[in-house]
Amino acid sequence: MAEPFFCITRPPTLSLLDKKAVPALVYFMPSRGSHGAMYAELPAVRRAIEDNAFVEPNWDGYGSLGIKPETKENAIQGIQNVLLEAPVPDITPNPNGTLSFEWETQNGSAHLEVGQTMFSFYVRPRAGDPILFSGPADQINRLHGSLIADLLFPRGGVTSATTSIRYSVDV
Amino acid sequence: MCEIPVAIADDEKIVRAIVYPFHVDRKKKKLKAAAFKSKPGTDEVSVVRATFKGADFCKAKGREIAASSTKGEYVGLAVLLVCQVHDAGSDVHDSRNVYCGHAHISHGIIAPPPNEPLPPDQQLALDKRLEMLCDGAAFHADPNPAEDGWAEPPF
Repeated sequence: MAEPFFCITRPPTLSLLDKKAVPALVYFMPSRGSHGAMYAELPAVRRAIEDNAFVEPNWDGYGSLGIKPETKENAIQGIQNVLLEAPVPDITPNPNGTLSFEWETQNGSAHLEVGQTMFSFYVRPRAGDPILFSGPADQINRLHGSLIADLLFPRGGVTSATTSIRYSVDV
Repeated sequence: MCEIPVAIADDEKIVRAIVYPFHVDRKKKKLKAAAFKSKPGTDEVSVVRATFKGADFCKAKGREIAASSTKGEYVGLAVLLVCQVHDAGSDVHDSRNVYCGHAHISHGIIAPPPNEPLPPDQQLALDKRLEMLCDGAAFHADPNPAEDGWAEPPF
């Protein structure tokens, strides 16, 4: 029997906490509860990756490269980590034979691009400096998802009740 | 013999043929960054010098490009002024060696190796330019993509 594709309970890889991997000015904000994709959405994401991983070159008519099987596998493995924290992104193939995942909200944008051996990632919040990462494709981590979730999909703060209670004297 | 001047003026119109689903998001009704991404191994994006070649020629080229695509379909034309490309930080140069009326938008960002992404700082810089081009371009959806000739008002 084939293994289920997405493993929600899988422990996170913490390679981003390696000092070499984290630029000095980067800070992590622990995610306050999951913003991640719903379990039911995950097979659709895999299907979208497979639908966009065109093997044949020139899929766009402008001389694009075909998407290598390794790139597709890297994308599938990587995005399942990210989706533990972040919602489902837009998925697009690139002429250079890579796959991109994009998030955009009123708070900013994020871009994860996955190739045959490497990935490239940034979050660009509306306010503040962008946060950049790159590395081997097998190091795409749920902490990338945390950055997306916390910077682009922040949860609202605690709000006070707004229902006003009045006594009626004209009954 | 190509009669078009080699120099490209700031007020010239250039056109990129738009191939669905890669270049346009129908739900969001806007161009995607991929519409102005460069060919693999280069920093160049093919366009037609529409001011000189006209809409019919641009559409014919668009249909030809999409016909060679294994997955896409021609759906319309994105029109830019050359000054908008300059404002975004990219350049336009004539490339009549491809055909008379062909030009390249050049982003000036070195292409990554095949099947690998750009480093994130360069990707971010490129995405900002692509965003400006997508926001500035006028996308003219073609209501009759299968028919010859541009039947819509001139752009």
